[in-house]
Amino acid sequence: MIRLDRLELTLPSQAGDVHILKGLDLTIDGGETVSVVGPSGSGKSSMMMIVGGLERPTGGTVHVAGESLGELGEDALARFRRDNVGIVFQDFHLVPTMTALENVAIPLEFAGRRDAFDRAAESLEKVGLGHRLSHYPGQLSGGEQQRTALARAFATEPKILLADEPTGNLDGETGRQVIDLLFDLCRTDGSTLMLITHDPALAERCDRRVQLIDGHITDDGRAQATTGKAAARKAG
Amino acid sequence: MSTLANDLPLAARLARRELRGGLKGFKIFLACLLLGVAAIAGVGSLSQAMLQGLNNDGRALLGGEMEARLIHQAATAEQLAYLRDNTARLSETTDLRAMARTPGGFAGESGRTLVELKGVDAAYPLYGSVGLAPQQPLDAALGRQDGRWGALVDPAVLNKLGLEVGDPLKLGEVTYEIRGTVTREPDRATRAFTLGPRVLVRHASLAETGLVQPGSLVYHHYRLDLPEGVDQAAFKQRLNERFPEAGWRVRGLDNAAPGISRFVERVTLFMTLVGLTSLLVGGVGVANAVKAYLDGKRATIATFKCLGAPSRLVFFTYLAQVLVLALLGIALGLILGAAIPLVGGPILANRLNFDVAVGVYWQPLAIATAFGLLTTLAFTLWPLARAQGIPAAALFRDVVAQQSARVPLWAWAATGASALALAGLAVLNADERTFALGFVGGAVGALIAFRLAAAGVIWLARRAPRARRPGLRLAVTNLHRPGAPTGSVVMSLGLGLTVLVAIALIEGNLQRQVTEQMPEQAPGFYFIDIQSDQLDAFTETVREFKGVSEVNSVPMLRGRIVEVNGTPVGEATIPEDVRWVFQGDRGITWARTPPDNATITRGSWWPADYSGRPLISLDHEVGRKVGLEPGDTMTVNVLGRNIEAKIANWREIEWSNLQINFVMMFSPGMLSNAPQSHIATVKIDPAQETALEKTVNEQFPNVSAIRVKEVLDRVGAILSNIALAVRSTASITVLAGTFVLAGAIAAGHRRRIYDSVVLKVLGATKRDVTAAFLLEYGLLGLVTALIAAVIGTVAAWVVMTKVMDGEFAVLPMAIAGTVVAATAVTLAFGFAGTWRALQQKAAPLLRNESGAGGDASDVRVDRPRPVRQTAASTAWRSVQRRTAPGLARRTPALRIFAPRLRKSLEPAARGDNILVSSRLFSHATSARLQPDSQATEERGYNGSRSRSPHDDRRTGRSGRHRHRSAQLHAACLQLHVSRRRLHRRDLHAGRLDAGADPGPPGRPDLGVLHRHPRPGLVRAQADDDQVGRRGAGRVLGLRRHVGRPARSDLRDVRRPGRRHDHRPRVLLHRRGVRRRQPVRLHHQARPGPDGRLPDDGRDRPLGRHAGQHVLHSEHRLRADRQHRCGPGLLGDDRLRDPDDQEHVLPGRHG
Repeated sequence: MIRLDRLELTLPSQAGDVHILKGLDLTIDGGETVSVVGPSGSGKSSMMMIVGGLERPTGGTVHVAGESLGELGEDALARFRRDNVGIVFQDFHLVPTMTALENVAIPLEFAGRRDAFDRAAESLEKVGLGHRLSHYPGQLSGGEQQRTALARAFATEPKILLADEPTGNLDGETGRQVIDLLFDLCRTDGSTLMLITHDPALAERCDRRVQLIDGHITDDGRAQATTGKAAARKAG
Repeated sequence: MSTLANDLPLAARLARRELRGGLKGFKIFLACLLLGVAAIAGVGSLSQAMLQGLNNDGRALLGGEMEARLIHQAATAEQLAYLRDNTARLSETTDLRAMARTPGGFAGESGRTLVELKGVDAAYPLYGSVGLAPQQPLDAALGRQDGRWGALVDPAVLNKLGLEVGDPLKLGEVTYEIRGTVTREPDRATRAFTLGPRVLVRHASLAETGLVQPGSLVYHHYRLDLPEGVDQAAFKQRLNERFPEAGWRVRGLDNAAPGISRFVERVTLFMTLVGLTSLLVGGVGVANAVKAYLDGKRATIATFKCLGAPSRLVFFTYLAQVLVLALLGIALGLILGAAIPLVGGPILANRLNFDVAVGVYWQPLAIATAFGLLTTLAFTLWPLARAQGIPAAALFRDVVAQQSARVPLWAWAATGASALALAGLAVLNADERTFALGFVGGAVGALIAFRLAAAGVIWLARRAPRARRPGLRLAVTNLHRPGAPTGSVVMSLGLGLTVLVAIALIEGNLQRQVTEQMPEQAPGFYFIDIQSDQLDAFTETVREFKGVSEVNSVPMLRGRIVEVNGTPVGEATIPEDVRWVFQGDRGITWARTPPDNATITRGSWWPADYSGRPLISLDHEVGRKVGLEPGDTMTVNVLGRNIEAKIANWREIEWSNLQINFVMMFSPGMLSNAPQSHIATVKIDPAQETALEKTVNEQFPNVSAIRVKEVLDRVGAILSNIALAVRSTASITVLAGTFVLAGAIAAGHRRRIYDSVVLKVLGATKRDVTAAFLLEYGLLGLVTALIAAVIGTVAAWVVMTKVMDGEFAVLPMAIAGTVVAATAVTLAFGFAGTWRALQQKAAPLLRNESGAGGDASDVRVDRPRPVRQTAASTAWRSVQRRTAPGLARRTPALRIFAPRLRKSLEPAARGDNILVSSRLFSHATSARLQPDSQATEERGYNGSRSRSPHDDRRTGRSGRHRHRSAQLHAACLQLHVSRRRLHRRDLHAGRLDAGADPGPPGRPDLGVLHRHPRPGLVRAQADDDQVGRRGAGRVLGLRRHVGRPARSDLRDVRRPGRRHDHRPRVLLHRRGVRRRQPVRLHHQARPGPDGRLPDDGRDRPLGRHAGQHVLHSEHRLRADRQHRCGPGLLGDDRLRDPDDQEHVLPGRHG
């Protein structure tokens, strides 16, 4: 599903170029749940942005869902995201002028789906916000906002779900609920999950744990995965 | 698939949702469009109403369906007979200038005045009616009664001569009886400038006056109604064929009042262009507003993109939104513009003597709409195209956000096309295209000039030597800091000011010529209609008169150019600015020798005894512009005869000295034998003027005297009126400029609040801050005004010397007045905008430090928050986001006040107590700063360089440095506390424990505070399972004092030597938590031997609290019991809520 080869990212800054990713090789299969951990600035978010087609690598190749992202133009990337990727942000990033329903419907509308609003309502129902359709983000609690964001990310049944510290702005219990929901949805939809987190417990819940330090992958979690954790979890 | 057909409806839907945000941020946008569109629509509507009124009144204004006019001589019997035979009705009137005087032997005072005399026949008026006071039939009023003809006069005649109705009035040889005054004359509307008041007499009586002599300047009008079914054009053609050399000018209804129509059209053009200028100036404001709005929408746009929106969709969404708002502004402008004729129409009708057809005219409204839309497009496509380029990654990385999005090529093209369409519409809409083109070119040139000038100002400000006064330095740096409004303010305000300066200078120069220069050179009198046989006697009389220094006389006739090189004038191509020569009748003369005041520039003068084929000496300017070289021919109709004459030479004429000048001078011969009158100029001691007038008038009753001084006064007055009108219109442009200024100031409001708070925190008094801002606006206004003065002076010079062929003098007072006024306006607006920033107290800003969602205020359904707080929290957030050196680099205020800042840091470096907030704490711990070496670390805060974009918090390597970075901010607070509101804010003390883990980055955890250097930490973490809002909890401050603090306590802050009972207390502020929602706090206390806190995992509920929680170590309890009386730490009344119990945690002293 995701294949990164010698992936590099260098960003210009006032103090000189900053090498953020220094040659990443990573393969993630379809349906896997992968957590990405590492200290701040190690390149987790950058890697995720590249996988989501939000950023272009400066070196190496990215293949996601059969597409070579390096070759796509800005709008083609947008279409790629629309059709394949769902993103959950730490800060939710709901559009403040739109109701929860409209927020969830946007990606469906972008995709030109006629049943956008029905499906959006369905999606919100799934995350337990069926009674909050016409509320604006400002009227929702943080947990509800993140659940709305989840509904939005899953509305298009993406092949890949990217989550950047989805519980970072939530308290413990709310965060747990959101994470449970996230894993549930991934399982039902069969989506591939890439989750950035600082929470070791949360990282442990994923099939694999990829560790990034200073732009290098120090542990791609393969060994861990082969211990059959996933199998064990399924069996359990 | 995403196609245009799919995108557009979706974009419209998204735009509709985005519009829920209301008009916030669009007020200036709307105001700018409204003003410009209203100006254009109003001017257009008023002009249409006037032209329509002229059209409606056409018959009355013309005096009939058609009019034929002859000069000097009346129609011949044959011509008259033809007219009578071929028309349904005919009316004959005669116009001339004459001296009216009180007859000898009249009991009242004696006097004389020049009047515009009009003789009318019994059929007059064919249309409309003459208003008389007292009411009486026109026939009776003018007819001969008891051997006396009657006269109707303008009330001005009565005033001037001290006469009353019933008194006699002598005109030429006839003494009339004044039978009433004329209140309304149906066919008089059309002349803006007359030499004297109107006197109306019977046509038949004129013959007896002796005023109508061969060659005297008399206009004969024949107004006529055509029989049913006769076409005007056909009649005109027949008339001209029948009498090819009659030399009459025939006008129809389509051209009833050509002069006034032309005047209205010209004024309309000018006003429309001024309106367009204000629209252009407003366009800058429109662009600024859209840019600011889209900047605020970065997150939303990036979110859209993350969710798969193509750039095009983003573009269309916001374009649709901008267009809807633009249409709203335009609609408001149209309503206002359409209403202008309702108000202005009647006022104008009063002055112009004809009815203004008030109504709604669609054409000007449509044109104004087109102007408005094109302006919107020309000024907003750019920011819109930039916004569509915002990358999705902007959500993740601020660095990316800093990069300016590339503007695609098509956006350049589209902006250019809109601008061209705008210019094209302006030019095509104008009758005088060259003028419009020049104006558009000038406006564009001025805009570019101002843009360059603004760049120059910014460049200069950047390189200016550092001023010693901090306020001045701040003002100068504010001119060039990134995002400063200098460019748009200089451009928009400057354009308006340029127009004002130019108008002031042009008007000043014209007035100077009319009222100062001309009277010096000009003769005291013109005497007209001197008959040839009177000339010698006249000259003798005048020359011998006391005080007369110079007498000049020349023969004069009126003639009309009918053909140029054999081509009828109507078909010849003649440039706009000399068309006046060919349009009506001109004075012509003949001479044997060249006049003294003329120089021959081409060709040669004829011999003095020349008497061959007629030759013409032509005005140099006319010859050059029309391309009439010596040798070409012109045909001039004089006295009903077409005279074909060859051009012999070009003459340079100095018009402004008011000597007798003629565009055409003929050679002697044919003209010298024609019946003619003479015109004379007389220079005389002003004291003798009245006497001379009296003498001449008594001896030569048919000679009219025109007093030049009176004429010049009247010209001056008219000039003032015109200038007033023009200036008021130009003020619209300045108003639009001030709107832009206000918008720019509003946009910079948050930064200004931030600056003001930082300055105050650093110890600046309100006066210091006020002075700094005033200075900034003063500089901006002054610089703008100076540039405007220069460009305006150049513009005025071009107009005066190139267009008007006049002299130009720089009038410092006119410029200075404009400059001072402009600076005052800028200051006033700037200060009004800044006033709120100055009033901003530092504390609320600090209190609202939580960084939660600026976006939340975008939608009205959100809980309302005072703007001030939002702005404040944003500003404060930006303090936190920036690392200290970065902050200092980007914030002029900090840079400038750095010495003070360092000073304020000293106590902190010595280990004094300082206050920190958790926000600062987390900021500090994630600061992208690393000290270069241990040594710099030891020195404390040193504004160190960035080594890497991130910082490994876990290693704790740079903890100490972070610590100091936090101290920087803390010191700011401390200083603030020491300066302001002592009785309420006793914030201070407590030092950051850099060793504690603040949790994952970005999470606004509680910081940990403790009193340094003792251990005794209080560590707190918010854990709220009820409401999972972001911005969970934070430690706002440490309070060491309960109850009303004394000044001495605060002084102690700066004197670390003195020991006080430090009773640390952590105050938790929960944002986003509604009242009565419980918050649990986990408390851990007692550091272990290693100085770190053990985690015993025990939770201690803190209970209910209204958004504020206080947690402190147990030994405070006793103190609290004694002192539970004072206001809360934050001065927040909620703290005094009886429910808001403070909760006590067992500390190590327990």
